[in-house]
Amino acid sequence: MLPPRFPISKELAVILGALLVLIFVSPVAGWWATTGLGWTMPYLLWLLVILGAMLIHRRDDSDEP
Amino acid sequence: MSHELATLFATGFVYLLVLFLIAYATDRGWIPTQWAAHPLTYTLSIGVYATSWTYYGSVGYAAHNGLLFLTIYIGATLTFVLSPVLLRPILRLSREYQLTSLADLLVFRYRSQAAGVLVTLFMLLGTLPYIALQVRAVTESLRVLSNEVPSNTIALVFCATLILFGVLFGTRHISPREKHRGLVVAIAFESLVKLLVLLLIGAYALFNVFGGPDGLDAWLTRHPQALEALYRPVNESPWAALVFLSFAAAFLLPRQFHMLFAENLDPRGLRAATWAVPAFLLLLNISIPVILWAGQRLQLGINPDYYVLGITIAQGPSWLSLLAFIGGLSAASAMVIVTSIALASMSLNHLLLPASYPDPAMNLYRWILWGRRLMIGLIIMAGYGFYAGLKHSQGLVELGLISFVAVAQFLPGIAGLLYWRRATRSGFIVGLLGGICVWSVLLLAPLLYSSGILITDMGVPELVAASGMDKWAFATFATLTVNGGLFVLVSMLTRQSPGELEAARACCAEAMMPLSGVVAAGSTVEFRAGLAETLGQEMADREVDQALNDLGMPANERRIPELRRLRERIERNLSGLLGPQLAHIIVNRRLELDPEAKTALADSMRYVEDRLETSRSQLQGLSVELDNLRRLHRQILQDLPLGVCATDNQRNIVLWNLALEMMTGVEARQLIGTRLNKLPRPWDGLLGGFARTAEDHIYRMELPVAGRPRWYNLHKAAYADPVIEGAGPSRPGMVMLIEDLTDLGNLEAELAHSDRLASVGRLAAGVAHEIGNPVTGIASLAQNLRHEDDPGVARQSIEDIIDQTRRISDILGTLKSFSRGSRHLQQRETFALCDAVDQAVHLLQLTHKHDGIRFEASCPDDIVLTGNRQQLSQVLVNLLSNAADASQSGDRVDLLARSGAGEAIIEVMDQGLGIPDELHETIFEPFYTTKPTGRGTGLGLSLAYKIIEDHGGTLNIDSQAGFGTRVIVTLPLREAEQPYEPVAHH
Repeated sequence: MLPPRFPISKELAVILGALLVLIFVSPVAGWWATTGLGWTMPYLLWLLVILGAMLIHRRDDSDEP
Repeated sequence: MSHELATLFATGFVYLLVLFLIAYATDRGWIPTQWAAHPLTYTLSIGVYATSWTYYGSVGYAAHNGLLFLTIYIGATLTFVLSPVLLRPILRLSREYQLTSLADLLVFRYRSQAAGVLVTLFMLLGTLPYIALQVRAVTESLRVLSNEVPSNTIALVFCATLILFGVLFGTRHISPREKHRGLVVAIAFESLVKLLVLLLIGAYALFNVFGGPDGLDAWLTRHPQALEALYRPVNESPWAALVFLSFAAAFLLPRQFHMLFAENLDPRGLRAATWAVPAFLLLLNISIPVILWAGQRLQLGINPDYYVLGITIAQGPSWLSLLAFIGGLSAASAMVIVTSIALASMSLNHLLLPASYPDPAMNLYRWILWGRRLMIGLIIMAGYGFYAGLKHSQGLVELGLISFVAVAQFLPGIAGLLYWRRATRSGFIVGLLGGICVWSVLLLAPLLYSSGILITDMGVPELVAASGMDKWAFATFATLTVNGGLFVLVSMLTRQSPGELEAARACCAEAMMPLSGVVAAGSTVEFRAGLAETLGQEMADREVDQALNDLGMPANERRIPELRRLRERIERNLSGLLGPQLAHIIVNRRLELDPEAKTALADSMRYVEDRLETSRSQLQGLSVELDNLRRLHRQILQDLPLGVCATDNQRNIVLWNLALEMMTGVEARQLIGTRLNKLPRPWDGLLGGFARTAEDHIYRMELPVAGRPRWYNLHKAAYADPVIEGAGPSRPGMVMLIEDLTDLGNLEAELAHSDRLASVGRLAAGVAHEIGNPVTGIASLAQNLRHEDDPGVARQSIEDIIDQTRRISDILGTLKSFSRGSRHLQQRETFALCDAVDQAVHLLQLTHKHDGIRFEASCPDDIVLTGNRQQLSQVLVNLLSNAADASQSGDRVDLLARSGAGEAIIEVMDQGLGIPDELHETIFEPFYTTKPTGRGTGLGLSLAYKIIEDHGGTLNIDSQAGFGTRVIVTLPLREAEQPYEPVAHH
């Protein structure tokens, strides 16, 4: 099977994801703070990030390190 | 409610005693190893990130900056989410090259002791305020809980206890390969304590201060300004700078680097830590807003940094406030212990050892051990000094963030290390110096000014105000802009040394980096002697033994590629003890490498293959396909039913396949890298000799193996190394194929033997008749002898009987000789051809099947051959028998032998019907016969052909239907070196 035309490595995906988090963390926090969604909202967002990380790394069966 | 200072002191002392016991129990093996190596333990030990700043300071920071306090942990979360591209490569490097600190890592990459000194000094400078912060947090907590101002003695006792712990449990081993399990478990325990206590206090605040979640909601509804104070800073201040700082701190702070990489017991733990550490931080911070609001509701009137304690004193039971104190103590002590251990190792390797390397006559291990212990004490006491010298005007977070900005200055260097091969040491040093200068002006100077140490703040507050940025954002932006800018600019303008280039490749994991050059020391004895000049004999011996053990090499290792690996392993091991640069210098000086002695790619084959085996999962895309192809080719070579031995241009063995292992009984791992002439006997002679000869093929080479002869076909060919750009001309190696013929030969011998026995069977009737005649004669003579009185006649009768008996013996001897089994075709002897001819004709004459046929043999006595006489007799019997079978009664079968041009020519001619042209090829095939069933096996001619071919001769048929057949056999005459003693024939 031919490789995908524009292969995106796992590393690149993680870096891009982290960059997006860094860029959007302020706007997201600002959005949450102005709409008054409750003080637990940042923790819920944080928990989502952790769950996402857990899912990504559970699939990572590569040898360490 | 408050506590007696003595009670708090005793509580703290008991807690630290428990900590000692946990560490001691782990080191003694009382706590199971799997617990110590469990990913959860590893995760909790990384929780050392949360210090008293988190424990106490987060509430204070939230009070002033709202939810911005979370940035310190969101940045850390980002670090762990990025683990595959950030932490895992560093863990790989630190384990592979025994790098125990950030300074080691950067020195390894930039190959500069000056970089090590700079990094260590700056790390000390940036971290001492942080240690001071921990000491202050403990003394302040005592003040809050006791309402007394604790004396400096208490801080001193706290510091002394931590020094003792660090010395006892942080310097048990000096080699990074031996981890401090006791320390890891104790730090994990401390993390667990602070987490549980903080959750407990949060729950207490929620349920006892507010009466539950509904009570909290009601209070928040009544006090919207509390929520507003939490939200407002989110919109007013940029998150990015703080997230960025904590992102860097989460793996660059000395304590983080130490627990993440230096004390990593199992690399798989990092996978769990990628989500478990963020989860730990989330849990740790979830109660912070509640505790803040509880403090506000209770109107504690103390610094919000200490609300964690305040609410337990105001309303809670006394045990809760003691627990709160222990939580803070655990957060502070863990940080001080791990930081001091990490900085001690760094300071020793990059400051003390390069400045005053001890006399080799001393025990260097002991020197390093006590050096580290001394440094732990000095560093903690320096932290105490910083604490004593600073005024208490700065918040906990203030001191912590100063350290964060300091360690962020290493980020450009780390980025270069991991991702930018072009980065140079000059760029790194200049960039770091620039960052340090800006950091000193923007953050350190105001700190010292506020403490009364400096008399001017250097106008920094005005500068920050003019920028319109937050203080931390401005400091981060300014320091990293200067640092990063100089790093890139100077790197672009300067060139890398070869050492830097090599290290850059290792760090970027772009290539397998095969080892090049040849070590001047040719044996492990020379290794020991060379290293002893710098390390002392005892340490040199131990390091060489350790490296040999690591690599599974024998003590008398002499293989050139293996000695190169040994040298590299020694450097890595020494790196863990002395730091990478010092280890590099010592090994370069004492175990000199001849870089000009280029080696072939084949030399590096094992190294590259080992690396591919261990890092297969890191390959992607086309690399995976290429690796699969490589594996397939290698497997084919391994499983080839022929022995394959490949050597490089120096005749060092680079490949020794499975068939050869089985053939020789010698395993490949013992031989790879060995010279051909160092092979065990008798293979050294066989393969070494074959490699030297001009012949590319040798057939049926006899070799005694374990006292029994074996036969081999040998083939060889030169192969060229793939030419790599810039690597110079290709240097050809050699590949040899070894085919063991012994079993095949034995089968052939058995087949020939069977054929001879079949012939004997066919001869049996004639033989019986031939023996019967003399037996009858003997019987008649014996009967007559009973009545014979004349002694002369009796003697004559006896002579006749003896003659007849000899005749029988001759017949039986001929038969026995012909039918005897031979173990192999290649059992050679030198004999006269006429003996074989006589034997063959005699055998055929024994049968009366060919009574009507006349056998005429003409063979000169001086034709002497080398070979298997039995086999050649068999050939002649087969040829004569075939000729007789094709003849009519009264015909003649001629056997003419002559010599000429170094060969004997034997012609067997009959006057039979001849062979049709279409059968000329077929008659040599096994089991092909034109005779009636039961009269021939079809093997005779094919065996004759094979035997003649084995003797280096030819067998041709000249026949035309109706004109008889002539079989022409040529055989080489006796080999010159073969002795020949003529024997008398009867």
